[in-house]
Amino acid sequence: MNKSRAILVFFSMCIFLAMILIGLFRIQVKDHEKYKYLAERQQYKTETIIPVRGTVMDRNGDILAYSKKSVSYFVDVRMMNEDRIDRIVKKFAEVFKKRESYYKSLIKRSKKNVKIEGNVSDENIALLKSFVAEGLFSEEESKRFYPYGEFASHLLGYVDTEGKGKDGIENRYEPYLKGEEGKRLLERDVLGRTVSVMDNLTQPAKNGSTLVLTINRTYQSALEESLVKGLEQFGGKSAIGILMDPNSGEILALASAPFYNPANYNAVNNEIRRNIALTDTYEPGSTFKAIIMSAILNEGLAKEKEMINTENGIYKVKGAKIKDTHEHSMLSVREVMEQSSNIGMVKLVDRIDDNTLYKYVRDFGFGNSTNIDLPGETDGFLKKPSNYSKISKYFLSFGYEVSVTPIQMCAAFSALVNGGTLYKPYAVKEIRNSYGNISEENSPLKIRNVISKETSALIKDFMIDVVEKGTAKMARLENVLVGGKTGTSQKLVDNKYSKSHYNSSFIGFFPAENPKVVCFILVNSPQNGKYGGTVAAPIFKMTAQRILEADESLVPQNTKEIKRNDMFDKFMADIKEENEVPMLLTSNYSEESDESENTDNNLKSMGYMPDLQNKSVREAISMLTRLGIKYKITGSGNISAQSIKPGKKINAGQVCLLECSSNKKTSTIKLN
Amino acid sequence: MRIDYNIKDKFDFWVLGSIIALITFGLMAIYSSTLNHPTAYGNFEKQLYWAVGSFIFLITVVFLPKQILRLSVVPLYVISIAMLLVVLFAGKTVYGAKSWLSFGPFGFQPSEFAKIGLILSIAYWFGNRQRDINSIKDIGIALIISGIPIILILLEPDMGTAIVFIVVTLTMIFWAGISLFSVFVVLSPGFVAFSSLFGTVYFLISLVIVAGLLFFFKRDLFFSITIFVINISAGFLFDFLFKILKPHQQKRIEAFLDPAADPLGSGYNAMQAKVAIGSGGLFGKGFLHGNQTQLRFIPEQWTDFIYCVIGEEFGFLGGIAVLILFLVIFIRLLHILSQVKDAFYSLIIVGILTLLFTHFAINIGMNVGLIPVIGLPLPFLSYGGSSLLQNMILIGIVMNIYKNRKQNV
Repeated sequence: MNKSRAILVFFSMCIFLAMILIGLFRIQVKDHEKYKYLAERQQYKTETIIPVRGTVMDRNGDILAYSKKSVSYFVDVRMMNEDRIDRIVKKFAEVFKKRESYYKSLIKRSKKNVKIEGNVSDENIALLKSFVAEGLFSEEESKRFYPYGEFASHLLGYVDTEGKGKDGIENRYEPYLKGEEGKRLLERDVLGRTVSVMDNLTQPAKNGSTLVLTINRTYQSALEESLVKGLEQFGGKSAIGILMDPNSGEILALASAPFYNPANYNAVNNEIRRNIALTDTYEPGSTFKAIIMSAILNEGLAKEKEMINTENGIYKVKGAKIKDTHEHSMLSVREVMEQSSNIGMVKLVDRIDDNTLYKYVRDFGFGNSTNIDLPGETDGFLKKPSNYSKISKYFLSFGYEVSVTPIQMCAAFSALVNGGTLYKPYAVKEIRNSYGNISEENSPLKIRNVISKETSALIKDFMIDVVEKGTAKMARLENVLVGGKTGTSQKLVDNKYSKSHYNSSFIGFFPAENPKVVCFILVNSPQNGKYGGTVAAPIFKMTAQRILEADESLVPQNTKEIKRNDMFDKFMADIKEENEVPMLLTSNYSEESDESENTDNNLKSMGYMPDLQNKSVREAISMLTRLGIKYKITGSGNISAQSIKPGKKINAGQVCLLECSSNKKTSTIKLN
Repeated sequence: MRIDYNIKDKFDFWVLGSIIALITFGLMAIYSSTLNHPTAYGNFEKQLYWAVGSFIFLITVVFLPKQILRLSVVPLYVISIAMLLVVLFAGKTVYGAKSWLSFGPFGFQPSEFAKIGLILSIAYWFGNRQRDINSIKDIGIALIISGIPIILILLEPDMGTAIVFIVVTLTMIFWAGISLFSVFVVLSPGFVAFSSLFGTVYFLISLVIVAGLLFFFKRDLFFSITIFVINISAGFLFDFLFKILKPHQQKRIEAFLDPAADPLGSGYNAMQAKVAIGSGGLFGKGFLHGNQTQLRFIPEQWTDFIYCVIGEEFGFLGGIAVLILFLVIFIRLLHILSQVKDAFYSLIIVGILTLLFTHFAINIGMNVGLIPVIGLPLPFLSYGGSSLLQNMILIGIVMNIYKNRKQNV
């Protein structure tokens, strides 16, 4: 036995054992974290769980946009060989009942990843679940659906291919709609196949919130259909419509034709997708007179029956030539609005000083964005008094030298008729989180009081006259009283006011006694007709009629069943009884109606057609309604002809055509 | 004369207990790594039958008469060589090596069986008192005895087993009492050859060292020059051998030199083994919970990489337990060695000890990334019937010697 050799053998054994021990200690204890990380990296794969984008619904819960998860199958062509392609192609052809050559050419044509099947149904997913092929993988994505197609497209916006909201509500409320991604930890084996899902480490996705809009789907479709019909009838580049609740600023409908389908947004260009009700400005023209007039009245600088010399249609001031469409020699302040006299406005605006006027216009929200909760809004432009030329204020008085957006006009008109308060317009009523609880709620936001209640009532009354006897007769409705103001403005083309391109607009409100809806209509460059009263007002009427048919709550309660004629009567009578003047009737009017009432009483018992010659329209209407005669009025001014001869025996329900002409002489229409 | 032994004298229970513990560990690891495996499912049961069968063999060998060892040397060696030859022509190729002989469903590796023949025949050669361990002739004959099976195994080719044969032969020559100079003569070609692996500069430096040592031993000039020439040719021969290595074997060596260079290629197994053991940490992930194992990141884990199943699922503590069990066996073998006076038996035990230790060191060394990946099973733990049977027979031989130690004087 060789002791030293035994020791040597033992020693070398011990050295090797020690080395192993050190090696083991190093990787298992010292570098444990590193190897643990390496193991987890190759064993686990973090998969993102995509959230379902939030639903958008109208104020009554009708779903306007929603998302669904959709599964697509991809093939990584770089991992393909003939065998694998054959296997995949065979399986897919069998499951989706398509030709094998279809998939084959799809795979052969591409270089990297190719989507071979998208938006796969649940049953097909189940069929493919057990099918594992290298290089074939599936991806889950959220797909956006718009059940009504083009409906409310500019308001809603669209979602791009990356799932990001672009334009409209989709864009502005992106943080709420998109939700939060979740994470799923998958355990994978050496071939990359999923062995199990680590449930305890799964962090579920948080789905997007539901938005409840202020939009009413019925109103919106009424508006959209009317805009389309209007464009068909009158031609034109585009038509914009906004319906707003004047007492809160809620947008009830907002549309601009032509529309597009958000699900297929790529089919149209940016020009069409732009929400021009917010992004594009225009010179408002005569609709602006209501704003200016309210400022003058609120300052007490004019009385409604005060007569203004309107210079028979042509007025030269400070080198500018102001013209009226309808030539009148004298008009009362009320009639200046009713007849939309530019000269009258020019004369009146001279009474208010530049800065006060500027303050009013500014207070109505012009020159500033309304901060509506929709993207892309522009400020418009309002000239500062310091930059005025000699005639700036005159042009401003009938809506030139100012550029506004449709939404600004709508908000300002709401303030005009709601008692003088400017509200911030908004389109989203409430936000509900993924559990259905309300997480945020928008309530009406008062910005400021611009004019007094009295001024508001008076200007409202003026605008009722515009519809009843002025430029907007085509906006009149059967059973609901309407007020409004027309506007026809020449468009600036190449820095010159065009003689062929107009913006024809009408802003109306109803029911006029207590306005629930302000409706803005603008037709851009109409081909057939140019006046707000002949182009925009009929579109308004179409819209309003459809809304009233669908929503009877808008028809004043006690007169719901009564024909409009009777209702109007009753309305006047109510006012008389209360002996209140400022609401609708002015002293001027009450005299007239007093007069007519006397005649009426005689007439009623007789049942014969009265002579309406030279009576005012209001008088005539009042008399005819008491007799139960329906009427149709053409022209403006006082009655010049009647279809039923005076003294003829009449039956209730007969229709009498009345022709009016101004005693201040009506002549060729130029421009209002 | 008859000596009344108690049972403790007949059996070394330390060795026996450790072996049973190791086999149990191995069976657990095989069960874990083949669980739900599509092709290797059932290996656990096969290994269990092998374990029971080979244990019976062990007991049988222990109770064989002691003369049988000397008598069986020549037949065992001849049968070994014959089978190694047969396998070259009729063998089944598994993992690139023609190393399997199969009889119907039953297959085994002749190279495992040849280990017994080699150890016994070298021990027999040097165990004879007439041999001069320092004569070139006697050493040469010993080298031929081991050289024949080594070449046959290299032809399969099975590098790992060949390395074990070389190490066992050298250790036994060393144990036989070779002089320092002879050690130098035997080892220097290997040293030069290994240096040549790292490049020309290292090759030249190693030659200078060899020349210096030759000068130090002061033997006659002709002899010194002969040794030097052998060294130079060893360097070239090794380079030549490296080139005729199979590409996958070359890659393994290259991968060891830089395992990160090709993590998905030949460095893959080494890397994954380290990741498995490393991620096990101090206490392990628990039986059947080693996901590196369960997700099959290491191919054929139940054979050469069985140790990383234990490292992953039972952690550092489990790994140390296995090391301690082996250490117990080695210490007991050394202890028995110290009690054996007969050179033949002493050499047998040294050979067996060396064989087990080499397997153990290379296998665990490659599992923890200390040495390159060489395909060698871990004794008693790795899946494989012939390997287990052979190891049990070797232990049986040791215990036979232990049981009869007092009659050897």
